[in-house]
Amino acid sequence: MRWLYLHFPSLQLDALRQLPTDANQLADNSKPMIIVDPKHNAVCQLNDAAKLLGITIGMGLATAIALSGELELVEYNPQIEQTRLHELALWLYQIVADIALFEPDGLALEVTGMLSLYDDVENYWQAIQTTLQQQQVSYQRAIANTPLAARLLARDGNKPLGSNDHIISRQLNRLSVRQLELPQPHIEQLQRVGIEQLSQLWQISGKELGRRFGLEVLNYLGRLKGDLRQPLSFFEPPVSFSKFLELFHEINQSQVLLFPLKRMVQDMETFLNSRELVVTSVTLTLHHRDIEPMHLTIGSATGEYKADKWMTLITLNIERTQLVAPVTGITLTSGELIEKNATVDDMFSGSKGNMTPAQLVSLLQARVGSDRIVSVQLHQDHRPEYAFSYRPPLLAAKKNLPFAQDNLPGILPKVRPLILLDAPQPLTEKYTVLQGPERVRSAWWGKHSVYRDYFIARSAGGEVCWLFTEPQGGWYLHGYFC
Amino acid sequence: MSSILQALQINHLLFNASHMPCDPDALLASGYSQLDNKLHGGWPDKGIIELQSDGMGIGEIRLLFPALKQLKAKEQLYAWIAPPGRLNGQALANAGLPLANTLIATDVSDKEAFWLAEKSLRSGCCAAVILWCDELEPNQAKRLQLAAKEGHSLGFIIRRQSNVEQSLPVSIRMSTSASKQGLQINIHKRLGGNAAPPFTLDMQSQWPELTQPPAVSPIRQLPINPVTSLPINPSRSQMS
Repeated sequence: MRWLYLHFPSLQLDALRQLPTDANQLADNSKPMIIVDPKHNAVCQLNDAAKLLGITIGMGLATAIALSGELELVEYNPQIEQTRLHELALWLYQIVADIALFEPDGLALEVTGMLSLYDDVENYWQAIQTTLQQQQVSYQRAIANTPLAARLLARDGNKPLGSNDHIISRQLNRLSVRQLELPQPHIEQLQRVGIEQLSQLWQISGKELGRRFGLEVLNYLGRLKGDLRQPLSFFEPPVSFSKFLELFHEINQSQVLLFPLKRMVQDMETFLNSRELVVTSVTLTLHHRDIEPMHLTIGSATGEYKADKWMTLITLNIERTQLVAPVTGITLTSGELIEKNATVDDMFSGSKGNMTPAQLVSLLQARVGSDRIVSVQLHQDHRPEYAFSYRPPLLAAKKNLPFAQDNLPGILPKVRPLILLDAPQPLTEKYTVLQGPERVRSAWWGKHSVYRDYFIARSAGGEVCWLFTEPQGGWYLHGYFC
Repeated sequence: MSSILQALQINHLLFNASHMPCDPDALLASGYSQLDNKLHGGWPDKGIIELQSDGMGIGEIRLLFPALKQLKAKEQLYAWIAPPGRLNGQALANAGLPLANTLIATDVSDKEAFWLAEKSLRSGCCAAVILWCDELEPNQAKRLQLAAKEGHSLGFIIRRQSNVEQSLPVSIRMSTSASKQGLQINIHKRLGGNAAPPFTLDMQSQWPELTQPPAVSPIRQLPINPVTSLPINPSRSQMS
């Protein structure tokens, strides 16, 4: 097994640099900039301009400021680093199958398995390098036989690619014991007996090591050499898309938001495209400094994944939006994700739709509630109100009911109005009778018994209606022959 | 005809709007030969047909029944969205429509109805969508039209006659009003053809019970309270 380890020495700095500060101006890279860890009050990341000034990692803040007055200071934020690391893993996931996360600043990529796809390490690296360059991130890489060894080498510095076992072990041997990721007391213990380089450690037998320096050191060296398994947390892509972007400067105009948004939407396209998904709505959250964030939900009826299509919709919405306060950050969250072309279409029908009736019914019911999307069935009843009823859609008709079957010629009454009123209404107009009467009389012993004479009649406005009269008098309108 | 026009016509570069080349397979016979003639073959097999109706119960849906029945072969859903009352299963069964494939959306708001119609049309599993909707914006109509094209579905929008002048981007825009023999139809707009002058569609053979023959026959008048004011039809009284 070979592992490629990528160490990102200035993840937060790169994330900041990547941010567009203005509509058409990227953060100035020529300005010295350092990230300061508030815990130790020391420099933990710095750019090239700062390096030229003589600032080094671990240098105290006071010393760094003394070296240059133009220094731009940013406080270290582990959250940003973590998010960025996951984003990088997501990008690399397009080309690498197994990615192990080493938080907060490293990724171990499995090499051996991927070589069947990329033929040799050089091709493999080309693919990775292209992605890393797009992401504008500085890195140090190394290849070794275990993730831990690769990590040590990468943290030491950028290492050549095409290395055989011999070269790798020589590189490892040269490492100082101080670079080992062991607790400080153990390292001091090693140094006290005169062990400075890793090569010296290898010479001591495992039994001796365990006895002298404890199980922890033995275990660590075992994992480093590959004798023991290194527990790895492999990267798994998230199930929905959500991205937060902290803005470099507060934005007052909604139009200016479009520029950073474009990048986010492109990221979303990559996310969706790699999963063969489309999204039906996105939520845009605009974070303000003091007041509650503003939410904008933008929907697309068919579901869409293309960045330019979403950008059009978002632009339309943003243009209409009046910002209540300057925006300090943006979150883009995907809504419901659905599969692209979920069903296979009939080749000859030429139909372009991609839903089955069941899918459609569930979609419609999800919107308005299942009781309002119904189907209809017939009953063996003379009373017009009870001759049919609404029922849940797409159920197979009950076989034992003669009227439940569709189309039983001769059994159904000849003419019935399509629209039946919920309750009969007393007549208020004058009507001309076209046909009737048709007597409907139900069993007197049953509930809701009816005794009516129905007429088909025409109103003055030409509407063909269904009227009835009862023996005790009164005329009612019961339906329309639409 | 000028020589330029002639030259264009010979080279097939000139189209006549009233005789657009049309695939006869892409038409759906309406079931009324009179209407088929006016529509140059029948309803389009996909798209939106706006039907302005001068009142409820004049025969606006009966006009569609034969065409809807033909679509049955496809074994797809019929979506009835926001009917103005309870949709009678007996009437549907009489019209030969499969009840098991019937989908009814009841008690929905205008906004929901539009959404449901768009989704149904686009789904590709609805043979026809019948939407009762009085208010419709041109952009909404356009969306429905696109959805119907995409889902290869036929949408009928039943509107109470209000805005005849408002031109919606739909395949066919027509208005109907009551007639004793059937339905008075006015086709305002037809995609790929010109409008037809208003005509009366005779539905007597299809719906003898619901129409009146033109010949005068003694018509009974309903006794409505107060009984003294019997309705009098002036035209009828003159003829008799």
